[in-house]
Amino acid sequence: MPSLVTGTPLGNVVTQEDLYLEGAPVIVIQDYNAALLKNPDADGYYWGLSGTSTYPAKIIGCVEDVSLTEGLTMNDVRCDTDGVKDTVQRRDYVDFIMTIKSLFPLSVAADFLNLSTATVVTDMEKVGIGAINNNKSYHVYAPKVYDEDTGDLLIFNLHKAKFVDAWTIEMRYGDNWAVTGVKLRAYADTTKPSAQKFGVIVRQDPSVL
Amino acid sequence: MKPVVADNPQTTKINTTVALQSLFPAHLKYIGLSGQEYQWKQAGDVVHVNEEDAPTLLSKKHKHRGCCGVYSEGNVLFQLYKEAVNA
Repeated sequence: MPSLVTGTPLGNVVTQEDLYLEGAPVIVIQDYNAALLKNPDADGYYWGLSGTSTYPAKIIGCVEDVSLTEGLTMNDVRCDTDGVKDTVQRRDYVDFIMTIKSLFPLSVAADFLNLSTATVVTDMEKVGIGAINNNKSYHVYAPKVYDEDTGDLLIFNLHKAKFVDAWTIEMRYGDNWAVTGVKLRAYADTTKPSAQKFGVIVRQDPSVL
Repeated sequence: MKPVVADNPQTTKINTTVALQSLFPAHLKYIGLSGQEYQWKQAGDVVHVNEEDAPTLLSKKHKHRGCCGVYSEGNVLFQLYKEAVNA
């Protein structure tokens, strides 16, 4: 019988990799009406973007303080005889939260600031600050290359997201302007299989997988 | 024999047009060299422009350095649009 040297459990053990990621992914958005690149792929997963003339993929510029989180509804199952016996959870949404330092062109900023479609003429572009169009949704594609030599990468794909919540454009003394409070919220996309109705995470790493 | 002189021969100018498709997600309004104004309401829209205006419009781009790891000379605004031919 093998002895426990470090306290490692016996039997079939799966360990995590000694691999740590740093920095934010690139964040790309595309009109929800565009077809996904893999729609689905051979394994039944829906992911990837393919920019078209009608639905270009738009790369969000300089981002800072990017985080990915979720919103849940949680309720305890309480039995007055025994106390809380369980917690029922439901995933409501998945949020990409970020600060954006790139404001131009206004045609792209109009998306994350919920402004009107830009009009571009010679030497000028213009957007209106009007009512928010609640019918605009986006695909989100966020790749993070974590090995520059081999191109190994991790991709977050969110199917149906909207820019929600109030933004603030901080016009700082001695510092760059920054749009804070940008929240890209992905809701359940009922056109996708239940197991991936919010999105898909894809990792490509031939040396390990 | 006296030469025959044609009086006021009429020449017909044939206007040829080129179909340009917008690649940019905005309402684009440009005046061509011919003085004609063209509008593309959204990305993907196709507008037939005078042949003489096409080169200027096709060369238009928003010149800027690509941000954040993406090399780019700017956003190209238009491309030639080839209509599908039904067999």
